[in-house]
Amino acid sequence: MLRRCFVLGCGSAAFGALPWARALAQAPADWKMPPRLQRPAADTDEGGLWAMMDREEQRTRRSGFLIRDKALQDYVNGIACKLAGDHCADIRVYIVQTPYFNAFMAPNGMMQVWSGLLVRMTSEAQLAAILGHEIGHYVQRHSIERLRDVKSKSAFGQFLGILLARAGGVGAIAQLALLAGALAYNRDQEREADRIGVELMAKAGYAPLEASRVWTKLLEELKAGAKEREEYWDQSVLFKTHPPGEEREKTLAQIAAAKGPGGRTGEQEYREALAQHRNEFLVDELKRRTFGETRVLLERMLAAFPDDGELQYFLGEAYRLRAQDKDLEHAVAAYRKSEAMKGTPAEMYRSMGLAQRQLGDDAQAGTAFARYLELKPTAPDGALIRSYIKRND
Amino acid sequence: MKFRILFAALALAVLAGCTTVVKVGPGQVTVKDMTLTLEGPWNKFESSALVLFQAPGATEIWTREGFTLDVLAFYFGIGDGETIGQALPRRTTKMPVFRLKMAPHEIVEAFETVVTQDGSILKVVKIEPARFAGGDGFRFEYELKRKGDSLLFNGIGFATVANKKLYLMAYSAPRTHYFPTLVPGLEAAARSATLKR
Repeated sequence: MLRRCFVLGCGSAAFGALPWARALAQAPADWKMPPRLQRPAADTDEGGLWAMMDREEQRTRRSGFLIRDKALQDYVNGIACKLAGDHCADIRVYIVQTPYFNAFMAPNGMMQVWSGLLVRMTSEAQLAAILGHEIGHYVQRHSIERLRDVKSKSAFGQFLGILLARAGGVGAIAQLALLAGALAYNRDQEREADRIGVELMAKAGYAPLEASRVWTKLLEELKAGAKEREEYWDQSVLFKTHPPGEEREKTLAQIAAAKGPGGRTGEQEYREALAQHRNEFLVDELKRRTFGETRVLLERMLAAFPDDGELQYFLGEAYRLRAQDKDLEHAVAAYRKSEAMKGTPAEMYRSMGLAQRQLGDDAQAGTAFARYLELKPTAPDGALIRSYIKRND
Repeated sequence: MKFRILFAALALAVLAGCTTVVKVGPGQVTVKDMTLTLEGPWNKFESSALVLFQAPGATEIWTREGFTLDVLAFYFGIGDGETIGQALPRRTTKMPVFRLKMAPHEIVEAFETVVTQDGSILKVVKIEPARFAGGDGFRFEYELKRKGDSLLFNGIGFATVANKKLYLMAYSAPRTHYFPTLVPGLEAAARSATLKR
């Protein structure tokens, strides 16, 4: 939990700043990638910060939430390297199974990308926009800049400085929690990271317009969540520490327009790279119980892949699990629609049976349960499903 | 170092003021209106203020080896329309509501919602009909990846709906050593459960 606070607090890729919109649009394009960062001396504040991040990285490496899929890892690393140039050798990307939209890069070169972010991207270029933003924070050394700013302005900052000076030898989880609140990037830094992100993605041949599309999609989801007063809206770091995102979306689109059309989106490559994990990521997504947001996500994915039975099944699940008003009817309709689609899992029939049972349609429920068993005769819940059918008889 | 000692002392003082742990068993013990016969002693967590994130809102929480290791959570006597569990502090996740029409699959989904609020990941590996507390019920097995420390747990649960109320007990412990060692005692306790129907 502490780590999560830290990650959210210190650097959220797409969760950045905003009223700077005009300045961002006018930012000069003469930025040059700084040379590779050298490891700072251990007895400096920056050295202390690196030491703490090294320990955090060790924890990440051991974490049961780390997704250990070499193919996916190589794919995301490859994108980061295309963007980072010489810095590639210093950047280590970790993909973490957490169903929230977030990415984070530490000053020592560790980058975390969460599964909730990956499942929301629809193209390689969109992921590149996020990674480029994080690399922007890294190469500009925003963390240490922020730390020194905080230290110079408050006694608490001095206290943080003492902790960091001792970080080489002291267990540091509580220190990380303290840092979480203190080192959130400021708006100017977010602005700079955004500008660098778009520069890097354009230079690597990606379509810059995809950066603003990340925001378009995220805002649609958050608005749906707000309408249903869901947790993510209430608690999102985005809206606690930053202004809303419409202006940012527009500004990124303006920058992209200034760079001209073209560039690669890499939709097909992205879909293939994530294919093996999409089911698992969507299962996790449902567990957030922010069904308004999840429905927007799934409807958007279905618009892109209208014949995808697995997506249609998950849409039915989002309705069934909320189970308010006419949700169960909507769930059954979604399941029915998925029957004729490709890739629909057998579990769809089990869920349809459960929804129909709740609606009092025991006969239809029995048929759906029987179909589930037909498709999955060795299902680990087979005996229970048979008991449902027997009860209906 | 002084800061750490101060922090630890403060945390201990807060915990001591809010919680107590009392011994239950061996022998007959009553939880709500269900009676269990225990082969050995358990520790019962009592708190007026804290919510244990492994089992938020449980009727009772027990452990054999310590609450950071193994947890037996009872969600007992939950009536139609009543909430199962409790949202963790500073969370606004809507807690599931028990409905008499719920199938075992849906009850397990609800349980999962309650115990994974902290970001832990639960995977149900088996769910089957079983006798529990003298009537028809079900039994489920699950794996849990705990968010705070990435520890891998195995879990087992028993539930029944009796007298128009839900009775669910679920036990989890680290999959290496603790679960295989402790689960026979838990299964024996579950087998001993009796409830007036």
